Amino acid sequence: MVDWEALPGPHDDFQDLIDSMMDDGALTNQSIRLTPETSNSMSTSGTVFVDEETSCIDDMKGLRLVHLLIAAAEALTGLNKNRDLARVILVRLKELVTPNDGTNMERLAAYFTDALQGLLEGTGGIHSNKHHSETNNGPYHHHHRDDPQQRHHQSDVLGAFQLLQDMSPYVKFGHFTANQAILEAVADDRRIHIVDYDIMEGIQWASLMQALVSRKDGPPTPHLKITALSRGGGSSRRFIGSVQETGRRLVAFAASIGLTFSFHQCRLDSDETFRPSALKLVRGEALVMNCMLHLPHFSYRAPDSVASFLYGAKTLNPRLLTMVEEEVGPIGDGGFVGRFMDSLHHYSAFYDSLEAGFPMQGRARGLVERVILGPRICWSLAQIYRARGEEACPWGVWLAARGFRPVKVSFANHCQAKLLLGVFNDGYRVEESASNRLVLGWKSRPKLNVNVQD
Amino acid sequence: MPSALMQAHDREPPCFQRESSHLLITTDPKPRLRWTLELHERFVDAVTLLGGPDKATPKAIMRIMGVKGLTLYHLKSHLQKFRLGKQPQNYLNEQAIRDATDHLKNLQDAATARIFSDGLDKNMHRNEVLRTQMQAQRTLDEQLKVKHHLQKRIDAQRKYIQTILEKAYRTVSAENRLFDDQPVVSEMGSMKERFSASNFPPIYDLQTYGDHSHDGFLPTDDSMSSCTIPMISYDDMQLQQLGTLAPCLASEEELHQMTYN
Repeated sequence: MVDWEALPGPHDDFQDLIDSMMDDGALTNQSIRLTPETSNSMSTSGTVFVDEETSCIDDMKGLRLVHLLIAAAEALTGLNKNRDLARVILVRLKELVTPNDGTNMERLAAYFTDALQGLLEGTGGIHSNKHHSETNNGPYHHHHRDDPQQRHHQSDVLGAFQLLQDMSPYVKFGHFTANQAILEAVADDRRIHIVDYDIMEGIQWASLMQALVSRKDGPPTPHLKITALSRGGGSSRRFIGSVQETGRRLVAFAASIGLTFSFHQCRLDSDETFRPSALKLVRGEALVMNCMLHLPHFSYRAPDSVASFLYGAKTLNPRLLTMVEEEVGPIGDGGFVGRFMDSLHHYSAFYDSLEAGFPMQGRARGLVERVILGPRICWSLAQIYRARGEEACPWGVWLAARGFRPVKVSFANHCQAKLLLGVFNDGYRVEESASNRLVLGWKSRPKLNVNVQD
Repeated sequence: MPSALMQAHDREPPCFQRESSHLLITTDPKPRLRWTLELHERFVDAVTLLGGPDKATPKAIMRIMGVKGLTLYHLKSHLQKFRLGKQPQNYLNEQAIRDATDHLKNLQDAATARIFSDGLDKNMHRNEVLRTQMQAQRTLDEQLKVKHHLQKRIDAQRKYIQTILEKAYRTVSAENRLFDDQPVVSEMGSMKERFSASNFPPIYDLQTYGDHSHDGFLPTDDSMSSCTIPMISYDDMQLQQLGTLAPCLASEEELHQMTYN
């Protein structure tokens, strides 16, 4: 429990504040619009009717958690910064929630609490309840603060990633939409060269390769070359191994389906700047630049690095540029709290969407949350914290501003996206927010968008 | 009776006609009833029951006859004629001819009216319809193509991910043997241990996700919205190798009951 005497400063002032926040009765006095059946319970302060109140209780608790989280965020960075207050609120939050139990909101709040705790203590790292890096060799790579997944065993991350893939369309949506746009752009080409900003395990390309070998029109045996950008040695090792391993895997896969394929690497500078001159280009090949920023388990990529890739892409005048990024909702004045709330909303939609599709798979979802989403939440908040005060601009807008021309998303592409979502749950929506952009959303919350430009 | 009824239905005041489930609106202000012999005989019976044409009232006749669609209007005029002593046969013939002529005229009027109202639009309308149909057909074809391709692409991606997973799990088990004193804490691995003792069948197929369409991956109908592309389709071979992932999922007893959309 909190030792009030030990807290410095005029703790009388905020003791009342905290008491009011922690008091169970606090929320009942607020005017919250609920359904008519439950409105009676609100007027009777403190007591809650037993019958059919569970969802009301959950809502109330969820609301209280949100209030506490926002209060903590405010205390951390607001105008009246107060780290002690923040600490106290986080303590209270930790009493209320655990990442392994409870409703979506409760588990989510647990991860956000952890993340805020990390910010408070300045580590910016992950405070996962379960796994701590026991060894520095074997599958546990050196713990790098910017690589959230490295704390977990690589097979766990992969397993969780596979689960996420199967339980939601997020990853596939981005990949498939981009791939379809690419296929259409290179339909008549014999040689195709794709430069991938962050290839990771190369999962995106499996389906593209398959599509290339089975295309009916156009030159029958296209030659595909993929150049993956690799980061210099010394920086975080990819949890799943190097870009070389990905290359080997892709080569094997291409061979297995009979596609002529070659794999290249292009080193980025030490500061991860992309230099177009480092690419090996061949005359007559169709050049495609690909930039996926939405994978839940990807590492931090500095905006400058991404920008260098996009700038470089412009100079190369590629056939196509595909880019997938997460959607950012309205963030108010752009301050930390606004973005914090947006992030809360974003991940809450994530959790909801997974639960809606798989209500019975609590354990599987728990694993995905623990291994992928939880660390990602920490990572997101760290980014937001780092970037507070700066202007946030979606890359799609950035591209348009720098002279990239939109390329229309085709009917077939849109159709594919709709079909894909149809497999999952009808809470997912796809819409064309612009002629060249498809947005995947959950209920009313846009989640990520795919931009196609040239 | 039925034939009389049908005709009766053709000429029903005030303006609505019912023909089976259709609702027709006629503009004929004086719908004629075709008094067949049968109908007339029923009429006469009813009148006789009521004590003769002078005593019988149209309302009473209607009630006794119980013919659907027969209205007071019909009966009033018929009764009047009856009272004036018209012979049924003659009357019928005359009436029949008159009715037929009227009917024909009605048809002609209606046809003309239709032509004038649609007029030029009729052709245009038909082209429009054709165009829309062709477009719909093309759209449908394209959607089918997309569906077909999508399935292949999803499978390709899954196959690829599985090769990664396989390798990863092989690495895990290798490491477990290597670092005996420091057991590698793999959550997936530990999940396997926890659940291998359970009774859950190792065969993990589409049903665990509640997908009951096991044959092929596409629904047999053409509805685009219910595309039950299955998500995990491990075959037995891969199951042995993967081990950890499948039981982890299959371990949830709820799996057997759940339906994913």
